Amino acid sequence: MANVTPSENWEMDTVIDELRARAKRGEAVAAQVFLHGTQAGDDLGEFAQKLVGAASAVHGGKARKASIGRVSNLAKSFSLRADPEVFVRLAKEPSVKAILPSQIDDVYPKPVKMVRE
Amino acid sequence: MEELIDQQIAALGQTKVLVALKPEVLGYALTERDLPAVSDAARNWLGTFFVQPDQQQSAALALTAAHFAGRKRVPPRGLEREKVRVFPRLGLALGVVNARTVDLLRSDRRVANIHPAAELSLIRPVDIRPARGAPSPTWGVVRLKAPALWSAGIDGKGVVVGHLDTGVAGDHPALAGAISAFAEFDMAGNQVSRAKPRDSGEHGTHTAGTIVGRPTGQGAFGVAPGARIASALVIEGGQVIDRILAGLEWIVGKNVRIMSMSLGLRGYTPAFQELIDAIRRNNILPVIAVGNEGPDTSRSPGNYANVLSVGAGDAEDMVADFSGSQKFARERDPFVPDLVAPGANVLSCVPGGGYAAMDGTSMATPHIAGLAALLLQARPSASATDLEAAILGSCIRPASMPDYRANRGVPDAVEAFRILTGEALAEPVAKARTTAPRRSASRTARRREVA
Repeated sequence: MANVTPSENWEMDTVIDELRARAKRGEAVAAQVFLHGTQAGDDLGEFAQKLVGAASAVHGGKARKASIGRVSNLAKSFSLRADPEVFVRLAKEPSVKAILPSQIDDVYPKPVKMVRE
Repeated sequence: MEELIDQQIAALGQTKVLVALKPEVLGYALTERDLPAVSDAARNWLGTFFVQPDQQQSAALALTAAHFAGRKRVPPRGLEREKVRVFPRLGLALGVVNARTVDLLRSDRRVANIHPAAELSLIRPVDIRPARGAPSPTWGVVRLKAPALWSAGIDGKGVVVGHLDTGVAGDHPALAGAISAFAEFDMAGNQVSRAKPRDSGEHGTHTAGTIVGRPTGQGAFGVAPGARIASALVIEGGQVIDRILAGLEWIVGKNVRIMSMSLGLRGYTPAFQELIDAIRRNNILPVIAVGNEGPDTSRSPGNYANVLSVGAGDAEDMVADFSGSQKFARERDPFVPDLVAPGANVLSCVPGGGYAAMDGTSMATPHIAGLAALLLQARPSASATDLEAAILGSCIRPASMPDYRANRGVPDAVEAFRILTGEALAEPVAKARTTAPRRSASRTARRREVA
């Protein structure tokens, strides 16, 4: 029986390790930050700004590299390009439910067989 | 008239039109000697308004026409040599236009009228099919008993199904008139302006065909052949999570009641739970593939408790080996998938006017989305929860399918109709479902590829 907790590949520590591996030295990397909806409030964009601002500030000089992209009210989520260490800070926030890399190769179950007519 | 032209362009990317020119353009009293020069001059300025026809589409049209005419295929000729034909004595020009050039034509003062060219009626095989007998339904639609609802006049007409995938080939004859709306999201998740229906792979066209494919000579493989899709091209590549979320937002804005998603991330992540909750609050039924990684595996969000999670079965009523299934430590809906649908040897359309049989839970999922579309036509006021309850309530699990793999089993369209409407299909209509299943693609003697 599987627990209703993230699979190992989607645990935040694993995702952040992957983001670190992807980021070239000193460069930002893109990921999607998912929030607990009840904690995000009505203005998700503003909430995201505050959240990212605080995480970037803690990380000092990397703040200018954090860039918020598309905000999805439906998914209570926002896209973020930032230094991997900013994601480390975000992962510790109680309002953050999950972080996923923006680039994932395997997003749909590929057909097992194909026969052309 | 304009609407029909626009619809054809929306579906195919281009369409053939007959242009009536104002009398003064070609002169009032042409002599035989004048004709070549006048024709050449007209062809020169009209040439900018027409495009070279898509050869694959022309071939597909010819194939369709030949099939229904009961003769051998005749390759399209002529149009590839000249973009426009001018008939100076008639004051007419014939050629193929696209969305850009048709607008130019409409605004040109020398043009009196633009008519759809009659030849393009061939692209609507559903209109002429009854006279030559209905194509055989594939085993999948028969297994769900969809033809029984078709016989009762329920084919999904008026229903739009959300479709999130690799896109859809708008020029496929089996999808003519089946695309209500299309959006493409670029690698960063931004919507591409004025994008025409296209498929970045083959997956999306195949799944779209299973939901809404119109009958062709290859068979009747669309479960709801009267319905249409609102399709978003979101996978694969680039910032795919951005793309998927943007596509979902777009589909929710299309006021659909059913959403077909043959996608998901391996394993379990709670990331999409808020999204799925919002989709349910918007009265949309998310129909999602469980995944192709076999027993004790699943994908998110197809493994959430509040989606209609779909596994794959075959024509022998076995759960396909690859079909995912998993039990979660949760009180509500611990088992996934919720049900099993035809997902092995599934024939549908692919880009380029062709057809292919594929195996996968991606192929099973659109069967259920199509079934939901049929039910929604039967009772347009039904909520997403009503549709889900009718489908789940109709399931029967054959003895050949273990419960930990198939959960509730395979749905039955006739029973789901009864649950949803409180009425049984009339008996003479119900008998129509006994149509013998067509082996949509032989399980032997055909080339198999691992996709």
